[in-house]
Amino acid sequence: MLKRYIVITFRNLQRQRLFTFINIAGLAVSMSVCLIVLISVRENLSYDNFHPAASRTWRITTHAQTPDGRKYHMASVPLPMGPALKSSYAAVENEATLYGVLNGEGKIDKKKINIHGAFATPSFFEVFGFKLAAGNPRTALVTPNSIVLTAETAQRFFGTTDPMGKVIRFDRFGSFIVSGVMEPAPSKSHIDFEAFAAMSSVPLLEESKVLPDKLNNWDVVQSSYTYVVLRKGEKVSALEAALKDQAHRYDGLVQKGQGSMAFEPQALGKITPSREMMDDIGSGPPWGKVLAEIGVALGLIICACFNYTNLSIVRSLQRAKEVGVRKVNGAQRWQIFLQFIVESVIMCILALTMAILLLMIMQATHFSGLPVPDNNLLDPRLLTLFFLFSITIGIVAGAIPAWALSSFQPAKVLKDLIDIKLFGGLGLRKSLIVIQFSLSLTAIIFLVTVYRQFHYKAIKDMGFYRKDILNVPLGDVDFQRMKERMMQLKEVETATASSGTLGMPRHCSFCVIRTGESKNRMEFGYYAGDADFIKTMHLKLLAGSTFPESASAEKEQYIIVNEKAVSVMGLKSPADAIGRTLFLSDSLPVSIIGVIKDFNYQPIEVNIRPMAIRFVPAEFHQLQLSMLKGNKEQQVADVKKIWTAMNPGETFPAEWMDEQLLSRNGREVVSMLGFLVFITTMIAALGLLGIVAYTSFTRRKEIGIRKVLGASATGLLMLLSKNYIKLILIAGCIALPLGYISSVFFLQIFAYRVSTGILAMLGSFLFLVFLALVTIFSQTWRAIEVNPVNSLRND
Amino acid sequence: MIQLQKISRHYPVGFGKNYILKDIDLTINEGEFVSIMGPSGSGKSTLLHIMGLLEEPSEGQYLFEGERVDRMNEKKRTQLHRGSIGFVFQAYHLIDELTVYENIETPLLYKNIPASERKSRVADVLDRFNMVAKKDLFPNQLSGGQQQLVGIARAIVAEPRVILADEPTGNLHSDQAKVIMQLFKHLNEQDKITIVQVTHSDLNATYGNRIIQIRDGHIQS
Repeated sequence: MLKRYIVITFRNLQRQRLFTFINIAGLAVSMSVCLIVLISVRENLSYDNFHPAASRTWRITTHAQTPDGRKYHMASVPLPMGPALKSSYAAVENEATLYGVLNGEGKIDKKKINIHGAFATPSFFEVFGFKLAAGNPRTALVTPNSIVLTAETAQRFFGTTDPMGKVIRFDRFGSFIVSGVMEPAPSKSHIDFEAFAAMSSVPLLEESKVLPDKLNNWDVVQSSYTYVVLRKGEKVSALEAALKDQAHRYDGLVQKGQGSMAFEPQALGKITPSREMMDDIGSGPPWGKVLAEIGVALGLIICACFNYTNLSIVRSLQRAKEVGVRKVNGAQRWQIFLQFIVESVIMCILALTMAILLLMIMQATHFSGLPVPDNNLLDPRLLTLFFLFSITIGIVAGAIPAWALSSFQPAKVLKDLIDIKLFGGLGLRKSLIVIQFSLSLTAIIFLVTVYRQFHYKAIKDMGFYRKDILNVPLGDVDFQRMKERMMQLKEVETATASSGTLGMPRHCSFCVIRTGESKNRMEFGYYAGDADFIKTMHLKLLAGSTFPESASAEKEQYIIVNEKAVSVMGLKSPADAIGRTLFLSDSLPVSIIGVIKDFNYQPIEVNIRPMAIRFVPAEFHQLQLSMLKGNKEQQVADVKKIWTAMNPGETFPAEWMDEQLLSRNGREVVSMLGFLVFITTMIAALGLLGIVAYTSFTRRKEIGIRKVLGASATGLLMLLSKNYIKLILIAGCIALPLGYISSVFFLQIFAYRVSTGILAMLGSFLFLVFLALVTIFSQTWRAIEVNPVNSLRND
Repeated sequence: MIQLQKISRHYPVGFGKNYILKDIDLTINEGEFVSIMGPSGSGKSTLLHIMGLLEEPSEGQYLFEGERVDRMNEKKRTQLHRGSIGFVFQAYHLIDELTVYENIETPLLYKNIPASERKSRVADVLDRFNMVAKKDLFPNQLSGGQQQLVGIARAIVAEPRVILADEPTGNLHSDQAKVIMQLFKHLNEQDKITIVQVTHSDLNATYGNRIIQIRDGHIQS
C-alpha cells in the first residue's frame, strides 16, 4: 500500500512540474536555513553533556548588589566558597574551583602564544568529564606549578613533539611544567580555558603579590568559579540551605547599607545557552540569540508550508475525482488522508535532499550570506535529525490539504466537479496569500531600515579620521622603538601607539575617576594613546595641548578629557579644566593637560559619555600608521618587512582601520538579513505564481467564452488580476504598520540613527506590488493568449 | 437482495421541496439484470447512487440483504462497498496516474488482500478481458471502450455480489457498446452477479431481464 502511495506521488510530481518545482524549491531554500539553525541549536543544547554526574553538578552564582543599588547576577563566587562548602556540609560530595586569571603569553624557547587559562583544583578531573591523553588525572594538578594543556593548545605549542615534562614560562606567573594533555572533549563545554594550572600555585603567587589576595577573601567575586557535586539522593534544597548559610557572612554589609551578596545554584546543564550573567566564562550563545535563530527558521518554513497548503488546496479540484474513485472502491477516509500525508512527506524529503545539496554548495563556495556551519552534513546522526525534521514538516504542511481532500463525497465529485466546495472556500487561500505577503513585506521594510542604518553608520563622521590608517599590533616591541623604525618609511605620515581602535566595539576601556573637590566617582571610558594620538586621529583640541614628549612612561601624570567630561565636572569652559587634578582609581593624581571636542569613540549605538585619553605605555597594544595616499599593497609590504624583522617568526596581522570598522559594524548582519529577505520574497512570489497559474488554467473555459463574446485582452487582464491585487493591498495595510513598528524598535538600539523613512517603506511596498503584478500578469496573459477554439473544444 | 421502501430524495427550493425521487418501492432479487430507463433528469442516476450508498435517501428505508443500510455507520458502509458492490461509470473514472494493472488492483488493496492473491486475481481478470498486453498502459493511452473494460474489470475484481452501472455505454459507439453489454450479460449468467444498469438505449435494455421505467421521480412500470 505504502509502495503504491509512493509510486502515485512520483507520477503526480512528474505531471505537475510547475507545482512540484514551486513546492520543492521553496521548501528546499527555507529548509536549508532551518538545517543551519538545527545544527546550531543542536550544538548549543549539547554543551556539557559528558560530565560524570551532570545531573548532580551545580555551579554557584552570585547575586551582588552594589552600595548604589545596582544589581548584578554573576557567574563567579568568592574563591574560598568551594572549600568552605565541601568541608562544612555533608550533602556536598565534591567541589571543583576554577580561577580564571592565568592569562598572558606563554613562552617555550622562542615560541610565544597567548594563553587564556585558569588555576584548577585537582578535583577538576573528578567533577568534569575531561579525559587526559597523557598524564595521570589524579596527580596532574596536585604539585604547584604543574599545568595541563588542552589538546589544541598542546598542538599549537609543540606540534607533534611530546609536551610532557616541558616547561612553559609566563612573564607574570613564572614557569610551569606540563603534567598532562587533555583529550579533545566529546562535545562543547562552557569551560573553554586553554590551560589548567595547579591551584596549589596560587598561595605563592599571592604571597609574592603577583595575584591579589583572594584565597581567603570573601569580598571579591570576580574570575573564580565553583562547581559542586551533591551526594546521590540529596536535593538542591540542601545546597540552597548551605548557600543561604554562607550568605550570612554578609549580614554586616546589609546592616551598614553597603549592598548585599547572595548565592544561587545553577544546574550544569543549564549554563549554556546562557542567561547573560556578568563575569561568565565560555562562548555559548545567550538564550535570546538561540530563540531568535529558531524564530527566523520557523518563519521561513511556515511560509514554505503555506505554499504547499495553498497549492494543494487549489489543486484539489484535480485530485477530487481520484478521491471519489478511491472511496467508491472501498477506501476509508483515513487511508486517503494517509495517502496525501505520504505525498507531502515525500515532497519534504525531496526538498531536504535539495537543501542538503544547497548547503554543500554553500560550504564549498564559502557563501557569505549565511553562517553556514562547516559540519559534515552526512554525519548519520545529523542526517537522522534532518530526516525527522522533514517528516514533521511534511505532516504539518500536508495535514490541512489531506484533511480537505479526504473529505470529498464521491457522489458529488463524480457527478460534476463544478459543485464542490473547497475546504474553507476561497477565504483560507486568500488569507494564506495575505499572511505570506505581509510577512515578506514586513521583512523587506525591516531590512531596508537596517540597511539604511548600517549604511549611515558606515559613512557617519564619528569625529575622527579613519582613512589610510594601518593598524599594526605591537607585540612585545617597545612602542617607541617600533614607531621610530616605522617613521623612517617615507609613506608614513604620522604614527601613534594606542590601546585600541576608536569606534570599535569593546576596544574602549573603563576606569573610575574622582575629582579633587568632590567625593563623586565617575566612570570614564578611556583609550591609551601617545603624544601623536590626537594628531593621527584628527581630533580637535579645544584647550591645552597633547602629552608632552617628556611625559614619564612609568608614572602617569597627565590626562586629556573630552568636553562631556568637562561639563560633568561642572566646569563652564574647556579652558577652566586645564591644570585641574583628577584621581584615577581613587588614588593616582593626574592633571588635565588638554580638552578635546566630543566625538563618537564608541560605536554609535551609544551616546557620547565622559572619556579620557591616557598616556599608559603598558596598555599600548597597536601602532596606528597614517599613510600617504599611494599604492596600498606596496605600503603594507613595506611595513610588513620592518615588522617581521622586529617580530621574527610571527604572522603579520595588520588591518586597515576603515575596513576593520566596516567589517565589525554589521556588514555580515546586512548580507545575512538580505539573504533571508530574498528567500521570503521568493517563496511568497513562487506561491503566488503557483496559485495564479492554476486558477488561470481552471478558468480557461470562462476566458474562452468571454473572448468569443468579444472581451478585450485588457479587460480580461483586469478581470483576472483584480482579486490578487486586492489581496496584495490588504497585505500592505497589515505589513506597513508592522514594518514601521519593528523598524522603530530596531532604531531604538542606536543613539544616532536615521529617520524611519516613510518613502523607503512605500518604495519597498511598491517594489513588492510590482513583483506581484509581474507574476500575475505573466500567468494571466498566457491564459488570455490561448485561442478560444482550443480551450473550448476540449470540453 | 436490494429492497427500497418508500424511498424519497429531495432538496430544498425556497420554502418548498423539490423531489427528485418520491416514494420509490423497488425490490431487486439476487441474480437479476435490471435496466433502469427514463429521460434526463428523471432521477435514475440518483436512484442508482442511493442503491450504491453514494447518496442517502431523504426518507424511506433501504435494506441490503435484509439489513437497514440507511442506519449504518460510515465504517459498515465502507465494508459493503468493499465486499458487495461494484461500480461502473459512464465516464469510466479510472485513476489517471495509475496503470491498467494498478487501477484494477486498487479495490483489492483497500480490502487488505495479500500480495500474492492480489496478483493472481488481477492476472485472472486481465486474462479474462484479454487485456494482458495493455496492463502497463495508462488510461489515456486506451480507447474509450478499452477504458470501460478496465472500469468493469476493476468493478468485478473484488468479486462483488452486485454491479451498479451508470450508463456504462453512454460514451461509446455502438460496436464497443455491444461488447460491454455482452460482457455484462455473461457476468450475470455465468458468475451470477446481480446487475443494475441505468441506460438511455432501448437496445441495451434488452440485455437485461427486467426494465424499470422512471419518470419525474416515480416508477412507471
